[in-house]
Amino acid sequence: MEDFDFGVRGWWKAWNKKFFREKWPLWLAGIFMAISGIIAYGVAVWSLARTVAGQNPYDQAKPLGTFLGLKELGGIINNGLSYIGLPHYPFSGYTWPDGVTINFFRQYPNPLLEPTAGTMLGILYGGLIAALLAKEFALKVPLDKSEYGLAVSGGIMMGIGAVFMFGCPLVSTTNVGAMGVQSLLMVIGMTIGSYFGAKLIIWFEKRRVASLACAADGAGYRPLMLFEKTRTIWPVLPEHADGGEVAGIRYQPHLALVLTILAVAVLFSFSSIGYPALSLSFAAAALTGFAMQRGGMCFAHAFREPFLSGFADMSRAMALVYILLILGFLPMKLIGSMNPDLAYAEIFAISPAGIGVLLGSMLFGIGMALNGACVSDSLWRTAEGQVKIWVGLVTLICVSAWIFPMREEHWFKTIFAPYGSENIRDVYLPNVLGYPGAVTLMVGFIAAWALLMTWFSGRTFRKYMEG
Amino acid sequence: MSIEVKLDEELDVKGLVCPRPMVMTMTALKKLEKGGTLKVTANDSSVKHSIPALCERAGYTLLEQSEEGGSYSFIIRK
Repeated sequence: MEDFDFGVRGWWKAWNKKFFREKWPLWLAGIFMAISGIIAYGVAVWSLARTVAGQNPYDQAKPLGTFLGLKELGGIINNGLSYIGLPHYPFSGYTWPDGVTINFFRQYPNPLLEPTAGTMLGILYGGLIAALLAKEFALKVPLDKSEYGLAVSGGIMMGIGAVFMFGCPLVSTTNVGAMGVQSLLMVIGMTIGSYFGAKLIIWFEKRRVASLACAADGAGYRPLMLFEKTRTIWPVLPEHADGGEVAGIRYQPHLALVLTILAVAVLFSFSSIGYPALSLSFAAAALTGFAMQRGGMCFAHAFREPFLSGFADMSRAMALVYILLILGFLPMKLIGSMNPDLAYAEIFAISPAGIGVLLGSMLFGIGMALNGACVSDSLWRTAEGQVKIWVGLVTLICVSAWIFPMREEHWFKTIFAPYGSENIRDVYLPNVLGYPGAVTLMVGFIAAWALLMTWFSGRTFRKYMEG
Repeated sequence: MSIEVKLDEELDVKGLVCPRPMVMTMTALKKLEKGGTLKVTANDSSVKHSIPALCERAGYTLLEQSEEGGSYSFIIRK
């Protein structure tokens, strides 16, 4: 019996360490991200079928993305600003694809019923569970003011960019899988923006290191940074560690277990009152957040590092996610193309295209390079307790929510996103090239992007080693 | 288990968030003499991947790697 216990315990310890404590290989995290994205798309198709069948119309899941929920928040922010007499965005309403205009603020009876609001919470939740299981949660407050400067400036750029590009990098994975023209512009724009963002960071750090070198001196070894840079609020570690873990670290996995049981109970209850699709959608987003935290999957890293430190491993992992989503969405799109009732499933996550998408994604690329994280990266890193990331995320959300309503204006569509604004199928690649042509183009484009990033990374690293 | 290593430089980048810990580590290593040792302390989880990957690619030796309460430290020989 003792041997058996030892065997099970030993197996559990090894598995627990491998799965919950150590970082996952990027390819594994990428596969999990893609699986959760495909599940989310499947749940969205299923919820559409349920709505067609007359089930709860508010139980409408959407493919994975973290951005559209902002329009509900935008309503709240602009309402609040108008009450206190501050500048707010005037707008008339939101038009559904069937032509019915409704009050922008009242699209859903509760803002949390907006599917992507649940997705954002799901990623945050999944990231938190992963961080707690790995005992990596710690509230860290940077004392270096420049970090906040980067977070706020990056957050503003990303907030504006996200409105113009119709999404965030996580949305770009869904959009690439969905095969819209806008997704190609997003990837190109974020790559160009990240290039300039990386150059800005290099310029900034060179100035900074040069100024510190003047101050650094001493015998034995020289501390390059002479000022206090962070304060960990929780958990507080004792000054003289005796080798044991403080309670705030030791019990993090237990807290994760309690939160998981609670979430399962809440999701079952929510499901039983008519929201099974939104419950499943939240679970898929939680799996995404979990995989992103475990693998350290970061879009900012994938787009910026080939130009900054000369690494493209994350770029290749994201390319894997993109390609798996293209192939994974395909059967569901074909179901949509063959069933008139589910025709909308074919064009889920397709957005209009135009110069606004390119410019917006370039601005977003610069912003995410400066901030160090995009929306979904910020969510799982927020769950790790990085307070700087919270500042960037809140700035991004407030700015983009504030200006979000402009996207519904006629002038915006005419100037910045004219293609597909009238008929979204105009920018749906399978509609233009047929499915075989569209799949070949999209997979080829992503493979070429991954190769380009790998080439740039080699060039950057060679310069570093030779310089 | 920690080992006794004579450190030539120490870089404390706790409080800085990706990509700055990596950029500053690369800058510090670039300035270091060949054979010199650098201790890096950070509390951004991105370094768990990036610093070992840097050492492997650049041919630096990662002498020690430890983690405690969300804080990570590395001793690298150039």
